[in-house]
Amino acid sequence: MEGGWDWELHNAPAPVRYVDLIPQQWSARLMARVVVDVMLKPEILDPAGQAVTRALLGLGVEGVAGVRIGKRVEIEFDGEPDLDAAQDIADRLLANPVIEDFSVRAE
Amino acid sequence: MTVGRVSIERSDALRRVSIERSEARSELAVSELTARIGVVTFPGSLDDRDAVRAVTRVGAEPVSLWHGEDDLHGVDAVVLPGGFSYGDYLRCGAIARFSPVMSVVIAGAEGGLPVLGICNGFQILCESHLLPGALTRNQHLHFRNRDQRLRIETTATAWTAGFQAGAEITVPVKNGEGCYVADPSTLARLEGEGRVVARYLGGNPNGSLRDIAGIANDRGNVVGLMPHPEHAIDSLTGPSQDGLGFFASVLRHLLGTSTAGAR
Repeated sequence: MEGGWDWELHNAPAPVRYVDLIPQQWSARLMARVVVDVMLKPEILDPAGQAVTRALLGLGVEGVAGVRIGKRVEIEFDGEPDLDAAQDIADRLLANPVIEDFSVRAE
Repeated sequence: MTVGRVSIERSDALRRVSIERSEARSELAVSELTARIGVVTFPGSLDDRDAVRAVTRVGAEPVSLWHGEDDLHGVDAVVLPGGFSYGDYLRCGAIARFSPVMSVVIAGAEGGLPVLGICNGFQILCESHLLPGALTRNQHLHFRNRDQRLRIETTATAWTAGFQAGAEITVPVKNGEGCYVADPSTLARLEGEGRVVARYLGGNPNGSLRDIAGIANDRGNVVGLMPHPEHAIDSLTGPSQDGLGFFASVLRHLLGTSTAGAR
């Protein structure tokens, strides 16, 4: 200590970064996210969106012509994001094609 | 109230026993004994008990069906009751549609099995593509719970055959997502083929297109109805007994088919 050189301190292993403690498969899973946006079709009335539009007018917000409200669904895949599977999931369950459109993208 | 109900059910039971014991069974009585109507319970169903009571009240035998079982237990007709199946998550009826019991209900309906979907049941039928269109959020965003006048628009279905054409009835309506929508060509087809089963009178409670309260499939065995006939079977607890007409109709329909067939 007396020589001004802290041997112990400078030869110590690099401090642990918590990010390195995350197992590889976890961080890979975080990457495999597919987002499905589900929106009411344009011709279907969206009363909730209209209510928000009116509320914005009440708040004095200008320049808003309309608001439409949909759903965002995040699908986590094991491993690689599977857009085809997400498309199938959205088509079968997440959206009702009678009233809703959807779009699928990896994130 | 309880005493009255019990005594009615008891007298029904006694009547059935006496019919069973009677030596000279009429065809009608035999058929009446064999009409078994299933009522499905999903997690979140609310009106299954009232539907069972309505089935009992018209003299049919109620059979409780469970959402997790792909078995209809040989019933002659099925009621999908109101409520909030699977919490109405995602969309009303969207998850119930994929339950095991629905696989057999859908197969049965395609083969002519009478199926009545009430409120949430109507939503499940639309999600199952047994009926066209969809039910969306009430236009005014409020849950509506009131006695509602309806006009029966067709008697050419298994569930309305016992009504008089154009009959006006009053049954409760209670929904948050009862606004029926379909594209113009579907609406035109429903109107043209006489498949609008009931229409709201005296004010549309949810913004349904063309005041539609109920529709049928092209064969007339599958009917979806937003209002609740099972809550209008007793003048003590409902606005009328008009709701019995739907259950009596299907019973009559079943008697007709069973006396014609080799049951």
